[in-house]
Amino acid sequence: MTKYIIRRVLQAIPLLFIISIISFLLMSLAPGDPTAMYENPEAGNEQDLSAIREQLGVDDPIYVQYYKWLKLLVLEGNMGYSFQDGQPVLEKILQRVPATLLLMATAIVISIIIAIPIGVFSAVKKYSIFDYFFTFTSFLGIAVPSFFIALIAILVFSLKLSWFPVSGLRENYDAFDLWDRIHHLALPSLTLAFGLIASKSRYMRSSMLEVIKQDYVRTARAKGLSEGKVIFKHALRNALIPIITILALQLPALFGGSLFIEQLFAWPGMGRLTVNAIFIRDYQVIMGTTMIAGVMVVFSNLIADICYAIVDPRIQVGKN
Amino acid sequence: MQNFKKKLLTTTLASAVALGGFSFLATDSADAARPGYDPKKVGGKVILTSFSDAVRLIPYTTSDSASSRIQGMIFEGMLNLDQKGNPIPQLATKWTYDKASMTYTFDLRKGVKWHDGKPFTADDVVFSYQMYMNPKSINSYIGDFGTIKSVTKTGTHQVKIQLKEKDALIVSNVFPAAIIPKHKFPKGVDDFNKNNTVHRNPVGTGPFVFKEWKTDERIVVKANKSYWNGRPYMDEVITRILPDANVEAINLIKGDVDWVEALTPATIAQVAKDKDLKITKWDYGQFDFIGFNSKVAPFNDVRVRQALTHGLNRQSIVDKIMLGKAYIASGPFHPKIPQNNPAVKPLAFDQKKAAALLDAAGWKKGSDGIRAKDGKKMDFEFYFNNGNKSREKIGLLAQQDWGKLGVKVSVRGLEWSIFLDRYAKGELDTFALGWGGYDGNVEHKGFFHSENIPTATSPGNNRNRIDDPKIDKWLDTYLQEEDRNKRIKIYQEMHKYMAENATVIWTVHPMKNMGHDKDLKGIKTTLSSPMFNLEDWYWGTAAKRK
Amino acid sequence: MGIPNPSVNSPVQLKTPKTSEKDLKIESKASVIWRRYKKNKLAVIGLLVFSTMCFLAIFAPLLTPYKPDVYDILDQFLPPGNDPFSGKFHLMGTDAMGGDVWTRIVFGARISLSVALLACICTVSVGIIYGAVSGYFGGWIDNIMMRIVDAIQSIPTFFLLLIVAAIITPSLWSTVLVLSVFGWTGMARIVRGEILSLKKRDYVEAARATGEKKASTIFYHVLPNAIAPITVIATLDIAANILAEASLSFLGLGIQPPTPSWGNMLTSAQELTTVMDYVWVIIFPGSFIILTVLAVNFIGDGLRDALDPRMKE
Repeated sequence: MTKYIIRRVLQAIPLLFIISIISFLLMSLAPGDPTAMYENPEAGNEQDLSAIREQLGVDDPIYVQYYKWLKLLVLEGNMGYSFQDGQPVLEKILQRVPATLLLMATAIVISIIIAIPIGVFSAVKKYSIFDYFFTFTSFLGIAVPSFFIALIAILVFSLKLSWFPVSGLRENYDAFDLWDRIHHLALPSLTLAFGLIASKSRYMRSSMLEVIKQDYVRTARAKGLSEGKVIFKHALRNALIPIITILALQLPALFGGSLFIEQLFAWPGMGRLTVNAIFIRDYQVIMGTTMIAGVMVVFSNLIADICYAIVDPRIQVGKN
Repeated sequence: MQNFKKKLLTTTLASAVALGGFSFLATDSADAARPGYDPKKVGGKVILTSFSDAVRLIPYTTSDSASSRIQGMIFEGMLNLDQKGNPIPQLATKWTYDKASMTYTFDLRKGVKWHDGKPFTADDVVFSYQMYMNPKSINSYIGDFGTIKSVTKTGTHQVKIQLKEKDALIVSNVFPAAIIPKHKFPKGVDDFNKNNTVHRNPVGTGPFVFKEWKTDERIVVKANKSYWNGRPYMDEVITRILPDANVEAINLIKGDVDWVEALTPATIAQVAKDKDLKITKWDYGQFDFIGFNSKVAPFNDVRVRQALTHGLNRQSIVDKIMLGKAYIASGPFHPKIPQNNPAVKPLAFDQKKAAALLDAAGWKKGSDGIRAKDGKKMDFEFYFNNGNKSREKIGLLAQQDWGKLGVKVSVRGLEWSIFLDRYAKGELDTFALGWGGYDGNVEHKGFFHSENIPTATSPGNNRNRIDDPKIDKWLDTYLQEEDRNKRIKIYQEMHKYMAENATVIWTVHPMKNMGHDKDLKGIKTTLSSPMFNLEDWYWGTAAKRK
Repeated sequence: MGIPNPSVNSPVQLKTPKTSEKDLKIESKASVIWRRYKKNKLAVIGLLVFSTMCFLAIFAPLLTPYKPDVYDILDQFLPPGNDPFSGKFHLMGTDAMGGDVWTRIVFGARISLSVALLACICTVSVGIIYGAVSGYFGGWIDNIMMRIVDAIQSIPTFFLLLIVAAIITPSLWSTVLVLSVFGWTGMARIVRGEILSLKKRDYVEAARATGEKKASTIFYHVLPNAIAPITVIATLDIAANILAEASLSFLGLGIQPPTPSWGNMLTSAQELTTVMDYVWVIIFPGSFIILTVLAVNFIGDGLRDALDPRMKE
């Protein structure tokens, strides 16, 4: 196993290299110019961008730009400087990661806490009124477009009921105020979690249904264990494992953030950074977020594969 | 932002009268206070909104409005403009012009201190202009400084600026340029271009002192208690970054923010229902238009341009899309500036006349109902920048209206940077766009002069590729004419010509609607800024002043 | 996953059209599936709702007197019912441009459902083939193929979308293309996972031992056993595509108005005044999207229960 992990990590290096080349090529294909963000034809005198173009090096051939970028990254561990404001890319990313991590992790944890009991319950009481009710509600979460539900949530819970603040990360900037933070976190994370419940609860339900039919569960029942004990002690533990795989695959989202939610709740996260960088063609920032996404995808897939192996011992990782 | 428009010291006469004998100087303010200053109004904080985060806080390193707004709170220029756009003293107390040598002499204000306590001197002025004029600096408005020959220090508080050629508008368009502190840029232009610490921790002389910048959350400035012209009333001005128009309005309704610069037409009705809020309509110097590449068929034919103008129901744009918050446009001049020619009337909505003009131009209806000439159908695309709902609706309206004339239009949204790219290349068939932020000091050469048509080698702002010797002449003489009244006549004449010839399809001059807490008082606007007297804003009720 | 149930391995499920005897058994299998499916009430309702939507889409021009792309802005925001001025009847009112909402919904159904179904067909075919090949062969082939998937998944979809949208005029086909190009990796990954777990099972080993070629092993032995998760995921893909079309519209990269799609209808209604004062403009397209996505998900859910051979009653 250790050998396998080491090999996968080593394989990741050429992979990340390829990702960086593809991304750079795509950027050269993309129409639009990175210095367009410095011009404003709707309000402005005539502008001269030549000094900016020179400073950013955007007139260099694409391979020269790539070489410069790669050299800086490999030799100095520096991800470059934002075209927009000259800040180091890593610094820009690190400014946003905590907020995104907080929001995504909370949403995922909430969704697990809600999804697992629903899944178990729906499996045990298959086709009961409870099963239908929970199925319906959890599916509602994925049926409503996220930009739509976020607006409705703000209108209902912030504007009408005044339960939560409308937007932002906090109100108290002078000191760390836990209640203030939780109060601001509640609505965006619940909105986000709403959309994450269905996939997990359905996975849990079918995984549970499968486990219940297994011989060892039957045996446990036959031994005369109480239904509750059978479900929770034997079945649940085994049914949970596949969920871990699903979770592993959600790891990249932890750092990627969610554009719509961040936009509507004015959450200072990675989703906004990435999309804004794409809109203004801030290539340095796009490369930075892409590489981080790449590392996260590689890492989470590795974990998912290892999980598969743990779940199903017949799959031997790294062997034919 | 084109000029670095500043807040100003207006005499708030009404409040001065109301004050009567109670007027006294606040103990913590500097030895001077602006006329009408009322220490009772001091206190409290106001929360503003911005769609996007600022980029850099050093003037002339950015061209986005979010940055320039914050810069305007912190920095000042030698001159400022009053509410009507006339130059008035700021960091310079007096200026004189010598026609023969084409030299301006500025006497600078003594005793002014930078926010970090260092004294402000002529060195700072010379340094600032050196930065802005340095070809290596990232100032993209370097062209504005093109007529300056030299900037020299002639005393600790005196500066002379000599020009290369006559420039009638330099006083109002260049001399309000913000002055930056020399001592913060030890490496000169390198620091100006790249020093992040300076860009994110600005030090100015203005009424507000930079306090904190939380990326994508908010930017806070606090009152400069030793401001030379008397401290601002607000203790703190917070700018929250709210990237969605609906959410911005909801925050306002909930009282989480106090002031929104411009509500979208679709949110005004909700804000109006709230009794604690007030909507103040203000005129912003802007014209919206439907543009095209004027060099290609069919738009190079004046009859087609006139027909499309006659064929578009612009009253519907005002009534149904802008919900009444706009004037129909007949040219590039806002109705509130003197260059607007009041005798000019917009071309009327008249589909019959439009059809006749198209027939006369040789575009005849084919069997499929679409007009064609020489085998080419009148079938084009209409572009707008994604997310701009009013412009999208204008496109959809044009599609219906022109469709009735036998012109086929497909409406398509483009992401902004792609839009700009194609616009520069002249590849957009037709498109909706606006141009704004000007006042009585307007100057349209960059936008309409044939020498500014972009080519592969030289960029230029005349992306509509308007190439008309008559227009060129008006634009040139306007800049040379030093007599203000004669100057205005020149543009009025041009206005008439541009309306009749449908140089582009003029649509509307939109009004802006600021929404704010009704207790927030003292707000004055200009055609280019809704917050030009921010230091005079105050809370009406004592509770809010805390 | 889990311990194989002997009944799973019965050759009955092999979809070989060779003998009539087997056809007969498949026939009976279908009725078994239907019997199981019927047990899930939500799934039955879902099927009904989805069929209705397809009916609306197919017969759209017969269901309304108006055209979807001809309207008059002077008729904007008329409430549902009869307009006293023009005497025109608008079942679901009119939108900001004066378009009849009901007309745009039924014509929008055509676009939204076609996009979703077409994109689903593409992603499923690519995903199955890719995932099956990768999972079955395993080893370095699997490794390389999965790393390619990793690479595609790492590049921000949004970035690619912008490039595609900039190069091609957004239309039904470009939307399908965009959704397919970026949608197949998930399917590939899941099919591969299923294959990995299935291929170690006895009957596959048996097929191998009897000397069947690898490709035929995949298609005759392994894939039919993975049919349950594939079908389920494919249905869920349809639902996801309907939503993705809406999100693309939100970003301005989807179907362009005046051509109606549910996504661009919902997007253009995202204005505060519309939401608060002219609810019909947002409620109707919103409900159609939500109902359809729910219906498709319920169908997928019912199929999951019905198709999974391991789920015995």
